[in-house]
Amino acid sequence: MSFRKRNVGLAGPSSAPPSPKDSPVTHASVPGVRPSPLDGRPTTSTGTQTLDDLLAGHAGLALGNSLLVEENGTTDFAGALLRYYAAEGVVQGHRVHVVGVGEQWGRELPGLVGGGGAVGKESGSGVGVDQEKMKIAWRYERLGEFGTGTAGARATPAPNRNPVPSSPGQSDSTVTIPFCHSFDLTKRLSLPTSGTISFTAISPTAENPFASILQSVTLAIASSPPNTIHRLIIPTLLSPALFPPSASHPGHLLPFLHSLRALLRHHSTRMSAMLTLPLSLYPRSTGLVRWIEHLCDGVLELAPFPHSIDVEPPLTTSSGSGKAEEKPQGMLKIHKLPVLTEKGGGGGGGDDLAFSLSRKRFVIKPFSLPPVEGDQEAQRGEAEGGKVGKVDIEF
Amino acid sequence: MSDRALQHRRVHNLLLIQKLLSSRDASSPFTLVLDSVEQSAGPLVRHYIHHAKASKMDVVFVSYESLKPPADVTALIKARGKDPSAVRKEIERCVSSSRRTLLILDSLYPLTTHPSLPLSSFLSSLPSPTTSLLAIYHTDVPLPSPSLSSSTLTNTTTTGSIYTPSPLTLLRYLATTVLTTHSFSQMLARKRAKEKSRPDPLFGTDEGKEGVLVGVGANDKRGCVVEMEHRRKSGRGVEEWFFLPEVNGSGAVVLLEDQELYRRSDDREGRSDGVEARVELATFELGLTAKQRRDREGVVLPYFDAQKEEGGGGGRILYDMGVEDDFDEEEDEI
Amino acid sequence: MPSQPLIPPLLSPNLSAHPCTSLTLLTSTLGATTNWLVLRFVCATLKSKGYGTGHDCHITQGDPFDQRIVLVSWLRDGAWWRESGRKLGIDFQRVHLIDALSNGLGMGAGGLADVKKAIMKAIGSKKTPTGGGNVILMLDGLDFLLAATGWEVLGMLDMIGELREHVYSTIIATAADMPLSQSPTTPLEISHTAFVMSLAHQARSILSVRGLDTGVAKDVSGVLRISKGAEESRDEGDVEERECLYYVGSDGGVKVFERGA
Repeated sequence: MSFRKRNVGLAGPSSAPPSPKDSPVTHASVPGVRPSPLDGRPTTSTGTQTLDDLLAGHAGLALGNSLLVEENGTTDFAGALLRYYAAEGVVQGHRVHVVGVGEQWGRELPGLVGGGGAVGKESGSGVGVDQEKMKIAWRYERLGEFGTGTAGARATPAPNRNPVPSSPGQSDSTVTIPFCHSFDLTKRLSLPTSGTISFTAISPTAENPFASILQSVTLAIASSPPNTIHRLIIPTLLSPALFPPSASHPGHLLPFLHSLRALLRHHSTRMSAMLTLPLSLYPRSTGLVRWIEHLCDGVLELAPFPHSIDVEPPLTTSSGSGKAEEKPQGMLKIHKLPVLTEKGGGGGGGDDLAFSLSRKRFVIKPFSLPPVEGDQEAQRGEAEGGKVGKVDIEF
Repeated sequence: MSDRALQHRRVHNLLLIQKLLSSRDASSPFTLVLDSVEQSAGPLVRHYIHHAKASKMDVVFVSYESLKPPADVTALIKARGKDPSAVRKEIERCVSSSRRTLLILDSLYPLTTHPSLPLSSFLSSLPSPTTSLLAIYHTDVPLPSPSLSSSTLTNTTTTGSIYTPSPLTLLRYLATTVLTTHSFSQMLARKRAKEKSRPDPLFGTDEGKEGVLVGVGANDKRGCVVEMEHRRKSGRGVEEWFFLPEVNGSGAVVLLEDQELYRRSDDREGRSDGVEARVELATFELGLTAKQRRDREGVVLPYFDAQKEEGGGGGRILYDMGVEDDFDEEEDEI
Repeated sequence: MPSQPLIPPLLSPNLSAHPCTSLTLLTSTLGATTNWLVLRFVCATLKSKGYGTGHDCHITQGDPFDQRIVLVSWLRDGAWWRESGRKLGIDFQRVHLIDALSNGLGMGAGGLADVKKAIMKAIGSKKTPTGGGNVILMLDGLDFLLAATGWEVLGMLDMIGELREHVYSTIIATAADMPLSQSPTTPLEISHTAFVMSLAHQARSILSVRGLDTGVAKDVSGVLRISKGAEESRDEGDVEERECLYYVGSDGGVKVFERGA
């Protein structure tokens, strides 16, 4: 694995040049927040490296912004993204506010790859230098993995992925928590006992089910130290399992999203939000959904392929397109991007994007059709006697 | 259509539209104008005002949405935000019974969405023997869907019951003349497409493009096309299409078919205003001259001959050589 | 942005020559916002003097004076406008900014009356100094209020009409996405369509931005279509219909160019 070595070599020195520019930003010291390589605004990670890379070159979700992930069908890929976002927040010591779902949701957050989900313990007790060292080790491991992944996936100006301390070999007292962790869906993140995650229930009987949500978040922000970062999570907005029918009334929903937008802008260096919306219940062709989208800052749509990846016979894996887990499981469309769309720039990049979810990560990359059966036949035919080519010419 | 029928329409229908525009002989007590963002009723209204002024009529303009009334209006009634009954009182004050008056309502939307106004009785109370009413209805402004709750028996006077006809249906029924405005340049584009058997071009929201409200060629400066549906006193209906040039420009109202640019079948004009795509940038001429077209139409094709009683002369090709034909004794045979 | 002029040359006739009492409608879609256009309008307005073409109402005599702006935005906060405007050199001394995102103007019990009062007050504060300043009213995202409150469209239109009587000219930015303006079915959609189309009927010109019809491109952000509204053609700068492409850079600089250029 020669590439891994090269990446390690690259990461060290390349991190040095931008640091003088970054240093004036006060949030550089806050874990899980780093300045955008484009304009220096503070950003935080969504917990999914390839999603961070999609967000208009800011290499993360700009604080003060919200991201809406819409999903077609009955799958829950968006839920996975949401869990990564929550888990990343927990690992970074951010305050995570979850709306609607119960505490069980919080217990199902994915654990750190290789870390055994020891975050809670770590922050709770004074940990020795050993563990610190271990973390640095994962970081490099991950760096190699993602370095190749992102280089192949996006042509965005590769930002300084991780704030690496000036002396990577030594484990001194500097905080060395990376910007984006990788999580394992089969593991469970052990939560710190203190109120890192708070749950806001939705009253099923209230006339306006949204009334209490922002109140509690506003209170929590006001009562927390000024450098605490907050993440608001709303899983499956308007889903009848969590929200009463009155929630979908524009008179309740839209003012709520409007105030959420105002709150995000007010705390533009301390807060971000992520929401998911089931499109099979609330299709994009309706005016209500369009207003939800207008009120969020980034809008992504997941369109899973109708067939399940597990049932699919591993035909194509033999053709050398990669491991089975890399096979795309659906398309991802970008409708709106934080910061950029507000300025007037067009949403989305040029390529069709596909996503795949495996045990260890959620990957978004340009979509290209793998050679399917028909193509293979065509290839065979061509190899046999070039008939296909001839017919084409004659025609 | 034969020339005689066209000539007949030319004479009678042009006379009719002139009569309507100048509101003569109480020819149309209630004229409904259906407009859209593609072609606003503005130019048509200016024609009406122009004619009314020429025949020394009063023009009372009831403004619901216009900030700047058209020029040459005798009286302006600002109706925005006012109750219909108050508006009617003002109208009654402005309209003198001794003078012929043209009463213009610049938008029917406030009246059609009014929760408790009986639209038909309100409108029919406005025209009098000396007054003719011209009211504009925007066809692309949707009305709120009739609420189910208002269709109760006790509340029969309210508009918007699901059992009563929609306001537009009602208005069309009440009106003696319905004038629909169309964009001239879009009509040209449609005709050009038809001549080439291409699908009808779509404009504005019909284009099906996200974010497009108004089509290319909307509110053409050269004038507007008006589709007329007039109910004569005898009960007979007349339908006709007209071209109205801008009031102050040169040129008179003509039948759409007689409009010079519309009549031409080459798409030169269409191209110059950018409606037609710039196609056919070939070095050779693809079009036909008038003589060529006449000659082509004059050719009797073999099957016409074969359909005659005796079956004609069988498979003869009936073709008379012209000077243009390059006849080669050795290769061609007739 | 030294590479491009602040106001794209192709646009400048449409940005500055709006006559007295005119209404300009800007429409956007989800992926193509009109904020850059609003900012250019602000920029162009502050640069031009208060003697626009066709100036025949309110004030007939006197020296030309600076134009002032009342900008009310329901979807973007004041900080955002200030920061974006600063890059264009906009002097916010002459712009009265109402941050209706943060203060929730119109969402309270007072409803539409609150909105009218706040805007009238802002207009008054910008008008007084030298016996008549030209105030240009810009409303951004008023359609949100319609969707969120479910008010009568007519009430909104009446308010706009009344406000328009107190200012020199008006610019309104609304959304015109397909679900909101084509074949409407729900009350929200019907209201939105009725609102936008009614404004389009009153507007002198309609500037619509949308994404590229053919998908996304790296060097094109979207398409701008300028359409002529209902207003009578006069000798003074008539609205010239056109469709062109634009590109908004990540620094906020804007290029507007013809198709194929």
